[in-house]
Amino acid sequence: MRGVLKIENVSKSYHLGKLEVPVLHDINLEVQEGEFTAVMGPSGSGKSTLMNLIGCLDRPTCGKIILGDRDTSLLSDIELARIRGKKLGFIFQTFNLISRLTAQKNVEMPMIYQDIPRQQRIKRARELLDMLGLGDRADHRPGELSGGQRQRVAIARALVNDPEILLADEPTGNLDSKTGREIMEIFNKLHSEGRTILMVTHDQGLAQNCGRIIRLKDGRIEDGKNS
Amino acid sequence: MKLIDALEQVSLSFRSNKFKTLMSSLGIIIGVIAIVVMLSVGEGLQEGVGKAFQGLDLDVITVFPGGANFGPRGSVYMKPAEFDDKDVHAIENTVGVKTVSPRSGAGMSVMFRDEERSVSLTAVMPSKEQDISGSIDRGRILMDSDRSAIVIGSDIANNMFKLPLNPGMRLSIKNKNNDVSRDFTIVGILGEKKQTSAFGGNSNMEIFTTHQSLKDLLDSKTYSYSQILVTVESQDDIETTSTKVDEALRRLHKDEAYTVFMMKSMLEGIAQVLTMIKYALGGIGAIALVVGGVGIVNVMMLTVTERVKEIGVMKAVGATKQDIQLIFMLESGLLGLVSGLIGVTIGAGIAVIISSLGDFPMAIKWTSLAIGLVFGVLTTTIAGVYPANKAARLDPVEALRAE
Ligand SMILES: Nc1ncnc2c1ncn2[C@@H]1O[C@H](COP(=O)(O)OP(=O)(O)O)[C@@H](O)[C@H]1O
Ligand SMILES: [Mg+2]
Repeated sequence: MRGVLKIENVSKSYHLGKLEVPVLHDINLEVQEGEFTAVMGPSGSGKSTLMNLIGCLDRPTCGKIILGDRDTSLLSDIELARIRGKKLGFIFQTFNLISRLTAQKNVEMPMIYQDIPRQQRIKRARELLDMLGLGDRADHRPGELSGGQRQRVAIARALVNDPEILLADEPTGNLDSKTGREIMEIFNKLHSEGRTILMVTHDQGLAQNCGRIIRLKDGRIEDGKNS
Repeated sequence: MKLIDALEQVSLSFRSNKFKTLMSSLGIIIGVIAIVVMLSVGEGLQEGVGKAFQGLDLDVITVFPGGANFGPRGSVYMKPAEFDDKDVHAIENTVGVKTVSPRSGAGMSVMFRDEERSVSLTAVMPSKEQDISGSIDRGRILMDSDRSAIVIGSDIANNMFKLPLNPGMRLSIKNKNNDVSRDFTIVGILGEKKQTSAFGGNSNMEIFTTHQSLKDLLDSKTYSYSQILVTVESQDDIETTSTKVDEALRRLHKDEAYTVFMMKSMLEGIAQVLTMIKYALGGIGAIALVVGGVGIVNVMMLTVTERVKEIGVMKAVGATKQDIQLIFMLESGLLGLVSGLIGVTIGAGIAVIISSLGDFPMAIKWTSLAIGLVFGVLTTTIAGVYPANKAARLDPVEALRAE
C-alpha cells in the first residue's frame, strides 16, 4: 500500500507572550492509502492542533509532514493553499459552511479556487449533493438545514476536488447520537470506496469502526498500533 | 481563481448585504456628486468668461503712452511717451507687423439743432483704417485730407437725436475744456455692428474723424497719438513681434513710459486663473470624496471583521492570500464603480437642474464626469487595500476559531 501521509518528529509550540507553550511533542505517524484512522484523546491533548498541521492550515515548530511525496515544510503559502484545495478535504465539528450561500454554492467553493469551469462545477456539486441525499436541498441555505444535513453538505464540499485524504475533526461532536451514526455510515461507505480518512472522535463506539486508533495524551502519541 | 468567479463571489456578498452596501457607498456617491457639480461650475465659469472675450481681436497689439494700468510696475516715475508719425513708421518697419493705426480720443459735446449730447470722438488716419472703411453702410469713407468730416456709428445716427442723422447733414462739435467749437459734415454712417465683447462700450456709438480735425478742436501746440493699434501677420508670432515693436520704440523713447499690450497675454492670464479656480472647486469635491473614502475603509474593515470565519473557511478549502485579496479589492473597487456611476449621473442631473434654474453658468463636460468616476473608483480601491491585506493575512486556524 502506498503511504499518503508521513509525520516525522513533529513538535508544535504556541507562544503566549514570551512563554512557549508546547502542545505536540515529537509526533511520528504514517498513514497508508485507504486507511480509516481514528484520533482519540482527552480534550486539550492536541488532536485539533495535529489535524490543523496535517491539513496545512498551520506549520509545525519542527519536524516534517510529508503528503504523498511532498515535504510541506518546504512549500510556500500559495503551494500550501493549493494542497489544501486539491489534496485535502476538511470536515469540521461546527460545519463551517458559509451561511449566506446555498448548499450548492458552498459545495462549489473549493472548485472555484482550482479554476474548474463553471458548468463542471455545477454538475459535480450536484452529483455529490445527490449522492449524500441532499438533491432536493441544493438551493437551501445552511440556516434552513438540520445539523446532519449541514454536515453532509460539508462532507460534499470536502469531497468535491477528490482529495487524497479526508480530515474530520469531531464531525459528529455537534450532532445527536442518531444523526452521528448516520454521518458515521457515510464515512464507512467512503472508506469502503477506498478513501483515506483521518477522524478525531471522542466516541469509543464510533472509533471502533475505524481500522486503526491513535491515542493522544498531553501532546504525545500513546499507542499507534492497530487495535 | 478566475476574475469572473471572484466577481460572482463579490456580487453574492453585495446581494446579501444590500443595505450596508448602499450605506457604505453613500459617502462616495456624495463625493463624486460634489466633484462633478464643482467641476461643472468651474467649466461654466470658464466658458462664460471665454464667451465674453470671444469678440476680442487676438492678433492686435495696442501701444499707448504711460505705464500699464494693471499689474505692478517699476516704481521709478517716467514721463509718458508722446507718439507721432515717426513711431508709426518705426512700427510699420518692424518685421511681422501687418497694419498700424494711430488713434487719439477725446470727450466732446455734439450739438444738432437744439440738442446737445456727450460723445467720445476718435481721431484716426483713414488710409490706415481698413476696418472702418470696410464697414461704411451709407455715404463715403473718411479721407486723410478731410478737415471737417465725420463718420458715425448706427446708434448715433438713429437713436441719439430726435431726428435720424443722414449723410450730408451738418452738426457741430464742441470741446468743453476750451469752448472751441467746429462744424462738421456727416459723410458716412457705419453699418450696425453686433455687440461682440464685454469691454469697449457700445461699438455703435463711435464717431470717427481725422487727426487734423481733433487737433483743431484741441487747439493746442502739441498733438500726439493716444493709442497705436498694431495688427500682426501671424497670431502665433505675436509675442516675438510685440518684443520687436517694443525694441523699435525704445530706441525712440529712451526714458519715457509706454506700454505694449497684448489682449492675448491678458486672456491667457485670465484663462490660467480660471483653470485654477476650476480645479480648486474640484478639489473641494475631492475632499468630500476623501471623507467618503475613510467611510469605505471603515465599512471594509467591518466587513473583514464580520467575515473572519468565512475567510478562514475560504482558506481551508484552498483560497490563496491572493484570492482573498482579489475578492476584497474587487469588492471595494466595484463599490467605487457603482457609487461613481450613481454619483456621476446624479451630479450631472444636479448641474443640469441648477443651470436651468437661473443664469448660473454650468457646463457639463465628459472630462468632469470621467474625473468624478475615476476619483470615485480610485478612492474606494485605495480604501480597500488595507482591509484586503488584513483579510489576506489572517491566520486560517485563528480565523476558523472566530465566532
Ligand atoms: N492558538 C493557540 N495559542 C495557544 N495555545 C493554543 C492555541 N491553540 C491551541 N492551544 C492549546 O493547545 C492545546 C491543544 O489544543 P487542541 O489541539 O485544540 O486540543 P484538542 O483538539 O485535543 O482538544 C490546548 O491546551 C490549547 O489550549
Ligand atoms: Mg479539538
